[in-house]
Amino acid sequence: MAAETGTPTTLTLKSNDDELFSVAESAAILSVTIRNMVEDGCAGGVIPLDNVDGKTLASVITYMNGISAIPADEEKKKSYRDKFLSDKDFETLADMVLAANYLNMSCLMDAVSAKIAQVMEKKSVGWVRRKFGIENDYTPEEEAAVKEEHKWTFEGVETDDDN
Amino acid sequence: MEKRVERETSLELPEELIEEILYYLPAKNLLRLKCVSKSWNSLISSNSFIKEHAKKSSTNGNLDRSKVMLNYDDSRKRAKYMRALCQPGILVSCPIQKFLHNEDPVAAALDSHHMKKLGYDIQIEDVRILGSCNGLILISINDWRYLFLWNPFTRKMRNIPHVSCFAGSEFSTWTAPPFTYSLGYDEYADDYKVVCIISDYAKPYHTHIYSSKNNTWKKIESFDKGDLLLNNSGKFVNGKLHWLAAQDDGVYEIFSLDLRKEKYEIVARPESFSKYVRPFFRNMGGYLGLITLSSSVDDINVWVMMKYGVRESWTKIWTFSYLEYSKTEICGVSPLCLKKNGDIIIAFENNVVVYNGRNELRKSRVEMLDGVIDSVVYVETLVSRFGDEELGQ
Repeated sequence: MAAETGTPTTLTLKSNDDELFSVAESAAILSVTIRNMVEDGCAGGVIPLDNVDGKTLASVITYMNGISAIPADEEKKKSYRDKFLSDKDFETLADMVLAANYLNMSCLMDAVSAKIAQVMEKKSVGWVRRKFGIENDYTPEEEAAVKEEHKWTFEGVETDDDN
Repeated sequence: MEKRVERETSLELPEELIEEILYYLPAKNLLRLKCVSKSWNSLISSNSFIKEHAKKSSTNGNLDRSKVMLNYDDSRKRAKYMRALCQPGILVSCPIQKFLHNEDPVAAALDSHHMKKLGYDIQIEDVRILGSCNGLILISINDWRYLFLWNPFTRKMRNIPHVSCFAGSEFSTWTAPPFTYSLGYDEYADDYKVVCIISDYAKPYHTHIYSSKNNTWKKIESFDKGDLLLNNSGKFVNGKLHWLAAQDDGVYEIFSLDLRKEKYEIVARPESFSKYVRPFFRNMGGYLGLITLSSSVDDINVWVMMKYGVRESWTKIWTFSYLEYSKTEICGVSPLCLKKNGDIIIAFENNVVVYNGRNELRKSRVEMLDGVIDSVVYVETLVSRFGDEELGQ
């Protein structure tokens, strides 16, 4: 680990479970949160990222390195993002959207949000409730009424075992 | 059914992040997700959510979600050149993706039975598509007698009164009507506006603007900068409507009307534009597309203004020499979509072609295109508050 002996262009990031990562400053400043710290001169030592765990941070850093290695070509960046997110499950994506929001990385934020939406498209209402931890506050009658009103939108959707 | 919460397996995302994610879902999914909970229902029904969703949907260039509304007339297949005589028929809607898989659209998007339920007991005939914006479509029905602002997804519609000076006019007597109606959106005021330009066979062109919020027409500055091509309605791009106007020297210039400022302005056109005849516009997913027929070499060109207002950004992305084909009507060429990677999807004759600037990547045959009079590309939205009726929350 580079820590404080690193070259001026390398930063050390610390996850909330105390893992240390070194990353090129040029890649890390994709995060506006980190860029502001660098500009304010508070990036000299270890940068603690209290809202991101080690597993997620490792993934975000892979993304930072990958995307910053691509020259200004929006199409190539897009296909990198698609590939990067293609094998991530819902829980990982949700962790990443939280991390991207905390780190203020709009390009990752948009891509992960779009990916989560894509995963949701064919899923049942019950699945969405479970994954997002939403309590169903409708009475059975109310829910039946809302469902009846939008009946046609349920075509081609996964059926719910528990609904 | 019982309430079930499995917090241990779920991630509780803050509401603003959930909102960000939901913006990326198609309108149909959002309606279904109203069943998730009361708070999701009220979020998805709120005007601010619907507005932002419509904005994001219309600008993301997502081919999967783009649909084409076709004004289709079966008799046109038999009488291809009798454009002026045929009675425009039915409106059908079809995802662009289906076109690319050789599928003909089947379902009618507008039927008199549904209109009757909404209180409009009129025969649906002689329909024209006048414009589209944020999932709404402006149509005229029954030989210009009725104007409707319509959301084909939510099926809500609203009758728009004609400009008062048309009252009592015999609509059916116009072979080429001396006016054009166009649709746009004033984002600042959250107001869908219809613009009517009247030539009255005399200059300047009187311009009236209708606010769907106030349900009123008002007169704004007249247009006096050339001969407007009134056979095409204005195309809405970048908050402005666009028309072409021939100047004294025969050169076409592009004029825009800002729907917030309600002022006409000139817009940069392609440099080498003057030698073209019969130009017309298309809205290509947020970009202004210009289709021109070159009089000297019988080529059809499709230009796109890649960066709004920048002359140098006009790019010729498709050239088609129609001498190679049978000399059919050139109006049968209509670019449908510009993909983010620069590929263009064009309908011409009864083919749908995907072209990447150098090569034809794909070509599929859609028989129905033969009978299409006009068409518009749109993305489904939940926008339903375009009138005085208080819908939604």
